Amino acid sequence: MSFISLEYLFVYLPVVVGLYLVFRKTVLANVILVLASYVFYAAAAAWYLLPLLVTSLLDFTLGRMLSRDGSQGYRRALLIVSLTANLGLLAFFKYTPWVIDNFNLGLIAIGVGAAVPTLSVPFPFGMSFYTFQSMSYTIELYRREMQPAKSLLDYLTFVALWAKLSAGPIMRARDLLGQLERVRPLITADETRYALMLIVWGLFKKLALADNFGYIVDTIDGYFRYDAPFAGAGLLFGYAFAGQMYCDFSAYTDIARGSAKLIGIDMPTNFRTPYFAVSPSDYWQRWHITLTRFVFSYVYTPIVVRAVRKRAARGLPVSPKALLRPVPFVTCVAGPTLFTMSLLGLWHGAAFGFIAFYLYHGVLLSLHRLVPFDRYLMSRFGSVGKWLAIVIMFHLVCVGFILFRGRIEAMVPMLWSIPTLLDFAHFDARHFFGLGWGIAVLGAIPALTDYLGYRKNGEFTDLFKTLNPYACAALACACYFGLTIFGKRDGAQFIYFQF
Amino acid sequence: MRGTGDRNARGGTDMNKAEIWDIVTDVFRETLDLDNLVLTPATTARDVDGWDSLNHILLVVAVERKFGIKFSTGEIDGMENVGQFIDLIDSKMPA
Repeated sequence: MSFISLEYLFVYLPVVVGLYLVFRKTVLANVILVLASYVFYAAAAAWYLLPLLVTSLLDFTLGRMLSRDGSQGYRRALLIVSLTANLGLLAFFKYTPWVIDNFNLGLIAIGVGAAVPTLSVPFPFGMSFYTFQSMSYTIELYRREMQPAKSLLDYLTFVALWAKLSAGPIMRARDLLGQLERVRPLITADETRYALMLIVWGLFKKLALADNFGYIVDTIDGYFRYDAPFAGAGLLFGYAFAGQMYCDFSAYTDIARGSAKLIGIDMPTNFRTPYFAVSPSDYWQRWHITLTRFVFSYVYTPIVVRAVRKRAARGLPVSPKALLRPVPFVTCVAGPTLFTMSLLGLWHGAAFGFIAFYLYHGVLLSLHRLVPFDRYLMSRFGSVGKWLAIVIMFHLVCVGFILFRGRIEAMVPMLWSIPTLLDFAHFDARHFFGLGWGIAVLGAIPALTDYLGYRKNGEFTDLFKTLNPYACAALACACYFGLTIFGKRDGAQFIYFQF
Repeated sequence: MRGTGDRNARGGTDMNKAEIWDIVTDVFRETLDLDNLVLTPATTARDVDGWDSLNHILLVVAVERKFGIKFSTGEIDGMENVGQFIDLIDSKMPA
């Protein structure tokens, strides 16, 4: 069931919230939430519930065992069982078709012919998200950093909660279980307005902005597929996909957070004006925050802490400058960064573009240690330098998005079309400005709203909390008319539902 | 032993929070190369230029060495602001 479908907005959500409110103070509250979540998931395919239940029951059982006393070796073995089972299940669904296809291609190349039947099992959407969240439970119990779930019902609700099941935000066990285990107070009128505004704003961003950006992305892709691309087409593709990706994914997150807020659950934000980042590290503190934080917490931090402590124990300097020497740069900076970013790429799936995108950002993050262009620009030119850094970083992000979204055979032509902009003799103003105008008009809205959030060191939706009711009503009306006039109605799915 | 020299040089182990603040501020200024940095309990990584994931670890390891203490990975990850960082250091100091 999609968040943008009429059945979700006008049937599922009101019924679930209504039932929750009636039984809020009873044990039935979580029974309703978990059953509703299973209905939500089974609406796509009933068998999707099977791996979801396997993950939930396995990690709950292992969690119980981890919370009892036991030798370190025994506890480590339990954790390994959890990680292996979860990642194995995820890898099976994510990579098996890719491995079989490539194996068959190899056999065909050597003249044997395809020998292994292709696996035509669809990937259960949301699996990458709930697997990570469930793993966080056993990891944190292993580290003795949280208490086990009070009941199986609470745990099943934590793993399956529909609002974050499809595409996050990724919530670690300690952040969500506690909220589910207690009777939550009724949300106030202000909180209700905030939740509904998140949903309305999300719908507007998805249907009126993201899907129209998507139309431009497909149009430009068509030039590379069928026609001779015009100069700068790759740059426009990067701009348009940056707009589509952000409006799509942040819209999903807004609707998820608004839906959860209606049942008294606070979910973290996933985006904080990402295109106002001044550097690669700043960008990753603003983009898909919950996934980045998850992987950095459980992979990057332990690796770097160990490497830096080892250096420190040997009496070697561990200042940022000292780490720029070749050996520590590899062991403490570039190595852990590239490893972590490639895991993020693999998490997205078996596609060259995902790995290339994250490795590209890993290289940017590492190189930025050597060339902190933002610091230089800001110290040299003040606030003008800061805006220059923002513009540079935005363009680096757009180039990355060509890798993420572009077809493998179109990546090089797209990148090559950017410098050809300098060939003024062959500049095709009609195509460039025709599509560029569309991107500028669509982009002006998130640019303006994000700027308002950026000024407050937050995101635009934070302003809904303090906006007076009349301003909220006016904004909701504007979103409604925007949706009616500009909204695409072909029901394109959220991009991150494929993960 | 890691960090004991620094700690003893500052007059034994019964350090009060004001002293911890001073030392932590010095560590931040030195690590992040920000001579005039002023920290408050509510200061977060978002408020300080250059306080990113790598520099956060460098700050933590520098503090570990200064005070002769050690943080768990969960503690390193869970520090929301400078106030929590100071409280955590204080809780690990010998009574």
